[in-house]
Amino acid sequence: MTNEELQNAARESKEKAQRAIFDQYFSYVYTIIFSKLRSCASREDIEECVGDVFSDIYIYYEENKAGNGDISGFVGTVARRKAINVFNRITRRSVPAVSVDSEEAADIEAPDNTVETVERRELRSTLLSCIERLGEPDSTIIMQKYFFDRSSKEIAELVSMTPENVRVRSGRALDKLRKQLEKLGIKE
Amino acid sequence: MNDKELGLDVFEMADDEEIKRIAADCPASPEEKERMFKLSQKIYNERTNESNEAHADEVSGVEQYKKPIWHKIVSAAAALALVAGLGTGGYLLARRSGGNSQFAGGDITLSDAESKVSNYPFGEIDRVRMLCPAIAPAAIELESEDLNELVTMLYDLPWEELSDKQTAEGENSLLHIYNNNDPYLLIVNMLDGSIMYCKDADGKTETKLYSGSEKIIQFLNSIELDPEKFLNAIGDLSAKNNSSDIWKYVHVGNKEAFSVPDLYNKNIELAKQELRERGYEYEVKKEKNDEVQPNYVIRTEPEAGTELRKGDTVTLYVSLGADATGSVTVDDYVGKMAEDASVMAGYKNFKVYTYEIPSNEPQGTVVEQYPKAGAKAVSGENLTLFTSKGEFTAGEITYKFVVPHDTGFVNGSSTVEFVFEGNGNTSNEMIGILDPGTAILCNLKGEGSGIKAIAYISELNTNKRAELGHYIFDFDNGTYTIEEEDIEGAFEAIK
Repeated sequence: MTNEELQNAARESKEKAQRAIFDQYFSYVYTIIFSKLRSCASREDIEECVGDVFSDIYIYYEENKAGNGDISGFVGTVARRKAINVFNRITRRSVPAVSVDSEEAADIEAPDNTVETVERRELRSTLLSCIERLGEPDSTIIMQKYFFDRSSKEIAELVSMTPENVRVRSGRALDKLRKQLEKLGIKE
Repeated sequence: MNDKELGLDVFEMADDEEIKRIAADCPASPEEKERMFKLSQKIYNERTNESNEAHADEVSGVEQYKKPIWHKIVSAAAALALVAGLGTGGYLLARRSGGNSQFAGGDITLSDAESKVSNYPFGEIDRVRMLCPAIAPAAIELESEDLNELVTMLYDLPWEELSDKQTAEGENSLLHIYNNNDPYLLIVNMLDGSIMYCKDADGKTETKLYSGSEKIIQFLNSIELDPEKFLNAIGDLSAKNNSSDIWKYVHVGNKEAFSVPDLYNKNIELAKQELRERGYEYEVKKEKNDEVQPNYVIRTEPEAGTELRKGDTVTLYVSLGADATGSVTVDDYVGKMAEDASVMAGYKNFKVYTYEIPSNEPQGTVVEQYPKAGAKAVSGENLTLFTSKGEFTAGEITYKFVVPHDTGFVNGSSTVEFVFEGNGNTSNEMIGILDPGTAILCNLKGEGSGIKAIAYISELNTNKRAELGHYIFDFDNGTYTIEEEDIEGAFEAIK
C-alpha cells in the first residue's frame, strides 16, 4: 500500500486509515517486535509494544512525516526502535554497565563484527530456506511453535488441524529439518 | 529438541528481507489482532490529546479560523476545574474536554474542513457526481481538488431554509452526493443559485430549498468538462429519478474497463492482476472442477460483464483440479475442425490421436470420437478423433475400432476376420501393435448394400478368438451400421 492510497483512505475517515495501516503492516510489525523481545518480554509486553508502534505510526503519518510511496521501510524503523527501547527497559537491571576505563572494557567487542555479521546472515538465510522447503503446513507449524512460541493448541486453530496432529507433524518436520541441516553441516 | 537447539534465536537479528519472510507465518489470531488494534487506537488517542493540549499555547496566536464562543467557555471551564481540583465531576469534565478534539484547543492535525464548525445539514460529502445540461446524459465525478473546493463552499453556506419553494426557471446542475452509500441530491439552480435538497426515502422524495451563493454557480461553471472523464449513465435516471442509481449504473468511458472482465480459464495470478488494475478487490475461493485446470479461474461472482464500482469485491472461484478419481467429462468434438478439437482436448490433458476416414464431410472435420461425448475419462488418457478425408470411394468401407485398454501384447500379431452372411465369404486383416487409444482401421472392398457381417478378432500369441460385433455394410455409400458391438469384451476375451 502506498502513502497515496492511505491518504485516500484517510480522507474517508481517520479510523479507516488507521485500520488500513494496521492491517497492512500488522504481521510485519508484530514479527519485528516479537523477534527482538521474545527472549525477555511477556506476550502482554509485546502486544503493548505493537500497539505503541502503531499509535506512533498513525501520528507520524498524520503529520505527514512518513514519506511518500511505500512506507514499509518507515514502519520497520519505528518498530525496531520501539522494540529496542522496550528491550533496554526490561533488561536494564540485568545488564551491568562497564566503565570505559575499566580493564574489562577492552574485552567488549565492537558491535559491528563484520565476519560474524555475515556468517550469521548466511546462517539465518539458510535456516529460513530449509524451513520453507519443508512446505506447508510444516513450515508454518515450525515457525509458530519454535519461533513464535505458540502452543500446539493455538497453532491447531490457525492451521485448522487437531492439536495432536500438530504435535505429530511438528515432530516429524523437526526431524526432517534436522536431517537437512546436518547435511548442510549446520547442526551436529 | 527445543528452541535453543534449533537455534531460531538467530532470527532476533533478522534483516528486513528475512522479517518479511518470517512474517508470512505470523501466528496472531484475529482476536489478538483486534486487541492490538484497539490498543493502538487507545494509545493514539491518549497521545494526540496530550500533544494538543501541549501545543495549545504555541498555536493559539496563528489560528486561521474562528472558534465559536462556547468553545472558549468550555475550555475555560475545563481549566478552572483542573485548577480548582474539584471532585469527580470536575475531573470528568476535564477528561471529556480532553477526549474530544472538537473541544481541545489548537488542534492542528485536522484539516480545515473537519475542524470548522459547519452548518451543513446533510452529513458527509465524500464523493460527488455532477450532471449538468452541457454534458447530459453523461456525468462526471469531481476529482479531489474540485471536491475539496466545493465542500468548503457548501460548508460555508448559512443553510437557511427558504419558505418559498419556488425556484427560478433555468438550468440546473445536479450534484449527486454519495454520503457513505446513503446518497442524496443537491440541485443547484444556475440562475439564482438556490439549492434544492432532494432525498429519496420510502418511495417519497423529500425536498428542501435553500438560498445558495453566486460563488457556487461560478465554481460549477468553472469545472472542466473533459469528455474523457465522462461517466455514461446506463440507468435511466430521468425515468426512475432515483438518486442512488447514479452510483450503481455509471462507468467511465470505455465500458469494458469498468465491468468484471471475463476471467474464465485464466491463471489466478493474471486474474488478480486484472482485477487490481480495474480497482476491484478480490476474494479467492477454491473449488473442485474437472473442466478447468488447477489454479485457473472457473467463474467469477458477479459474472463477467457486470458493472462494478472501484473498490467492489469480485469473488474468484479457482479450480483445485479434478476430484480424487481424476475423471473428466469428454466434450463433444464431432463437427469441429480437427485442429480446434485437438487444442480443446489438450486443455483437458487428453492425448489426441487423429485418423482420416472416408466421409462426405468437409476435409478435416471430426466425424467420430472415442470416448464418446459425455463419457467419463481419466485426464491424461488418449482421445481418438476420426476426421473426414473429404471424399469416399464407392465400394470401399473403412471399418474401425479403438483399442480400449492395455492389452499387454507388445508385438501385434492379431487379425481381424470378417465373415459375411449369405455367401460365407471371409476377409482377413492383419493388425499392428495394440496400444490403448490407437485406432484399428480395416479397408474392406465389396459391392451392394445391406450386407450383414460378423467381425472377429484373433490373437495368435494366446490363440484366442472373440467376436467384435455384428455389422451391416453398405458398400455403395461407403458406410456401415453397428447392430451390436463389444470391443472391450472382445479384448478381455483374447487376453
